[in-house]
Amino acid sequence: MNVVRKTVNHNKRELVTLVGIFFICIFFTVMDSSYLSWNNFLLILQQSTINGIIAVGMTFAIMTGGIDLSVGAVYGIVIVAIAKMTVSGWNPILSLLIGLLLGCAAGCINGLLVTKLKLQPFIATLGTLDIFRGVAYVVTDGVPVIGVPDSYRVIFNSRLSNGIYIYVFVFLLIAVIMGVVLSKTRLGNYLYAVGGNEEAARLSGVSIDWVKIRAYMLCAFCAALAGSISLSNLGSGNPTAGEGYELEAIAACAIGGSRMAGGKGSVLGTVFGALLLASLKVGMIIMNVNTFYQYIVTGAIIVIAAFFEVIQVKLESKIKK
Amino acid sequence: MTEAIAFEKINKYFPGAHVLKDVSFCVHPGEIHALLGENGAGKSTLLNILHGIYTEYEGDVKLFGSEVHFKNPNDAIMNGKISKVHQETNVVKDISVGENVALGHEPSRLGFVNRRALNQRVDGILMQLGCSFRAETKAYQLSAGEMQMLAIAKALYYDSKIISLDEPTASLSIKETDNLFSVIRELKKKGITILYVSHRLEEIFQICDRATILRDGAFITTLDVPKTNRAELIRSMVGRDVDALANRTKPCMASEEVILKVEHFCGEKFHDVSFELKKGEILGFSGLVGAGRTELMRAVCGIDQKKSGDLYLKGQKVHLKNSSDALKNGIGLLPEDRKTQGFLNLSTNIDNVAISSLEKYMTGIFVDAGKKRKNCEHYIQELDIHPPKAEILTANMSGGNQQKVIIARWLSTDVDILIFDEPTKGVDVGARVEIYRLIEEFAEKGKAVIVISSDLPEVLGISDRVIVMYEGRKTGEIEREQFSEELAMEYAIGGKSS
Amino acid sequence: MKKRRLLAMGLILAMTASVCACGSSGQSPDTETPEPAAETPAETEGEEAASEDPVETSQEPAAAEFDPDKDPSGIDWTQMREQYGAMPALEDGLVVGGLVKQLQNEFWKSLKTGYEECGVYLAEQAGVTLTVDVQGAQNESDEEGQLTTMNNMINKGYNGILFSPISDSNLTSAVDTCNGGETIAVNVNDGVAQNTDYFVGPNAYQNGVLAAEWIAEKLNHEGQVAVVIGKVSAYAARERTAGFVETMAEIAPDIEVVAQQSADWDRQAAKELAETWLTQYPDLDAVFSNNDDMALGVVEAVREYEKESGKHVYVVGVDGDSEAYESIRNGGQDATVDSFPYYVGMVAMEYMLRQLNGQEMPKVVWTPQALISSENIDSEASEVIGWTDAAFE
Repeated sequence: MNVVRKTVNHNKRELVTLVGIFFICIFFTVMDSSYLSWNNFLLILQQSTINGIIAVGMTFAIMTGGIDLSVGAVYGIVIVAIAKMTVSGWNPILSLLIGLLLGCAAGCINGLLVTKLKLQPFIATLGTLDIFRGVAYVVTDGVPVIGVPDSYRVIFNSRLSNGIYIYVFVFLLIAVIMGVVLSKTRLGNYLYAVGGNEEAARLSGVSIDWVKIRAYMLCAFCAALAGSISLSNLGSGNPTAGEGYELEAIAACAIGGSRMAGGKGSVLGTVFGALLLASLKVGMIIMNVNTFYQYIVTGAIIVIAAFFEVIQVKLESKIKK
Repeated sequence: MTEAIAFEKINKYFPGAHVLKDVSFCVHPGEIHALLGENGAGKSTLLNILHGIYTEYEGDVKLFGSEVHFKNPNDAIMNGKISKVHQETNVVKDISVGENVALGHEPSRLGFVNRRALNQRVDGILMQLGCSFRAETKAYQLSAGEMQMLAIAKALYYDSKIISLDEPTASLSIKETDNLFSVIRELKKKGITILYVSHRLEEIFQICDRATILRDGAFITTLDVPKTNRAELIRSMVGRDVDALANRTKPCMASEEVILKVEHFCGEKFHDVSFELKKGEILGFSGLVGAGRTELMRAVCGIDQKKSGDLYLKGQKVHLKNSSDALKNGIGLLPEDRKTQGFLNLSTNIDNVAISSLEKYMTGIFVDAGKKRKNCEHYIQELDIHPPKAEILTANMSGGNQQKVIIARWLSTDVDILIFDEPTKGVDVGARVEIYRLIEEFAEKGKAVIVISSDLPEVLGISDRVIVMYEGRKTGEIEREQFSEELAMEYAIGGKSS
Repeated sequence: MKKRRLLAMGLILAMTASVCACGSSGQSPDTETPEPAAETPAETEGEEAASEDPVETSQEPAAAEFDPDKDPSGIDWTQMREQYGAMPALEDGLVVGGLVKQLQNEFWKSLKTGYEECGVYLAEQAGVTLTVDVQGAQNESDEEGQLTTMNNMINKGYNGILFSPISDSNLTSAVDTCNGGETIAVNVNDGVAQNTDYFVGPNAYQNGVLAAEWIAEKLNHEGQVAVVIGKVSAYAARERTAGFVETMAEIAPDIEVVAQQSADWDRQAAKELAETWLTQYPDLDAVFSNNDDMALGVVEAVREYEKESGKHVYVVGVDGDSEAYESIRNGGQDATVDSFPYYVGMVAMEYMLRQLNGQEMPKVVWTPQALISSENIDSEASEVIGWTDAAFE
């Protein structure tokens, strides 16, 4: 009992999101009983994978009090790079690793701009967004790279015996790893400190720059991983892939309880946020809701999540009393 | 007699804390009433309730017999005729004094601000207060004391019947303080009721009629100031007899071994400063505010870069690039401004204590939450941190306890040298003594301490040796046997050496 | 406190419920009521105006909502050749600007080639010099940049500008300048500046018609189909969808359009959309996608489904991307409606030169398009559409 209470106490914000998912599921099940099925559950997991992985990385950038707007472009550049390599006959695993390294390098550039040149993260990554996207265009001449061999595509895009795609497991695995990094490692501890009060963390002997660079690298790594998965799903490297994905990832973080000024948030919350968005999307598709209204509902959910941040403090003080 | 202010059974809760417990007392009309207590006793909270800053509380507040519940500070000023002069005054620096006074309530004619009427009225008030500046003066030209006067003028502008002053003398010179006191006495003559909050007991005896003491959120007593004494006040505040002054309880532990040597340090705010720090020594740095002591110590820790000069640690010449370098080399700095530079606002005591020493709590590659908590609980007990909870946010604790949490952070590391910048600023009497004890214990372990303090009795009381700075230069060095406030003050104003 | 949280949650539910209710009533998936879907209010208005008072519309085409697909003055490119005959003599030293959405995209690159090759060919034939300058915006959302480029072209005194606006409104101010001045501005392809005097491009509505006819035939006029819409704000997306849905209702009332949803021109999103449909509508027979990129995403979802169910789901796209051709050859995608951007460029340049050299052209000319499937994929495009080069007398 004590353990349950402790878990609840430590993850209040995450529970709110989970309750939100729960209500969405109930709602859609009432509207259409076919919503509540194993297949649909798998579908929601599949469809939250890309956004979920990017958002988990984004949590790290937001945790520092910054933001990474370039994730969609990193996603695109990695897709194009891996596509090019595999099409020209390179070993698929090697291509994947190089693609992921490329993502880390892109994140390192973001980190260096933010720390060494002291640019505001919003501006710096807005710039690199265009730069990375431009590089993707230059490399491909604007034409999608087609003909990615199956030897690469099977890496993520095959099913296990129970019908679940490998990439769904990759999503869950990366969520667990990143969750552990954030909550259990020194880097995670420093991230909370830097986001909470950067100056105090600096004077406590935390090397802020290195912490931030690693956060941006992890963020871009996640975007790169999402890109490599999407490539294996689609089999073609389009340099325009991932446009606007940064906003959806930020939405997942916000719904999951990340504080935009930094210092507050969790990987679990973000994963719930991504799942909430996916369950909402799948539900609305099943109900055949007009696309116009889908935007309104998604926006409303983000606003409601923000509202919860505000009232949470008030609620807590009342509970204590 | 109708009381000017009557608090009846006031209760106030913050997340995780019951900060006011059934507080009831009265303030007579036209008296100067002191509100005393250690930091965290609930004085500021009570004032914030009185002035409409906190709107959620239990209990009643009555002004001149009628119950009030202000919606916001403006409501309190306009409808309650009750004003607050803040600890740090809220002055918009780019506009004139007159505009500051009337901000938001300018007299208008045909929709335009009637500047002449405004300035005439404000000038009248400023003359009553004996101020040398006028309504036309730009606010940025004012000194700290003059800004206090501006705030009082603002209260009079709105015909306030009750004015509360929260630590009004904290940043004032002696002359400005004297001036403030004569103004307060004038206000009293006009029948205005004054609520006066201060840590400086001598001020209470100078101007207050009665004093109410709070401790841990509870009402303790109201005393007639002329009939009481310093010891009784302190006893009521801390609940025990203590000597509020810094006093060495242990002998000087300084050895001959030089642990830190600074040679010819130059920077923006300090010039050619050299000194040595010995193992086991407590070295005081005295001087006036702005003498360059903080800047010098930031450069020693590598937080800011010096222009020139050498640093030796245990005889080795080192170059510190940042404070994480300093930590690795065994130097820690406790900054003066705890809120912006000291504790992590969103973190609990556990993380605030652990942040500089995470490598101590590792199990494999993971930080062990259990070890962190154990370490924090150890220091909560050893440093008598109150409330004794590891899980609460440091931001929700009182100033003295926040300072103890930060001390615990550095004690958890293996640093050999600790630099305290104004360690007792905003810290109440009881906690002060404990902080002095901790500094001594740290030195006793064979480590070394530098204490920057603008409080002369404090720096002379705690140090083995004192270095005095004036305008960025080292003007004097005093050994313990020659300690005297007069000598230190002489050096601090540029004295003998020049 | 629990009450408040419940209350808030209730609010979410109420909001979602009301929105879903409007959503499903606003858009009926039922094809038996073939009104244009609720998401195309602008188009509906235009149509109503046209049907109520067709005479006035034809007299003052600029005053009413301009819809190039349904403009009464519109003629096919072959009709243009018939009605206007051979090319007029060309003036020497003309400068024609081409302004496309972005030059990174395969489609716009082909269009650019069409402009240039037609210009070179006709100038050579006529023995004059002609300058063709094609520029693009930085990306498909750089509306301001595109306007700046167009204004530059006007200021440099270009004789004609073939422009393809990023949105329906971003170039209207520059078009106004042209309408009163020396420069002839011709709107090419899908973005439509309402105030344009001239329009050349494929009939987007016809894209949907061709797809619907082909699918209806393949399904023997019965079954279930779905439509992947592009960005709902895009003219081409609205028209292609309307053409498909309306034609389907007309020629094959037994084919039900079970779903129409937007995937924002994004392949990953289209794949996810199709995955959801295939679990929800296991009897789905065909998917029409507003472009090939999204169609290829649908193909990925369908491939998995086909493996399990052994049932074929037809996938038809629009644009004629080389990747779509490849996919058709490999048995992935089934068909694409190719609007041949190269020939759009050729026809547009020809139209511009006719206009600049004295011929009074009709307001709208539609360019060649054809449905490409495995049956005709290996034929030359010129053969499929019956292309001949323009000739002088």
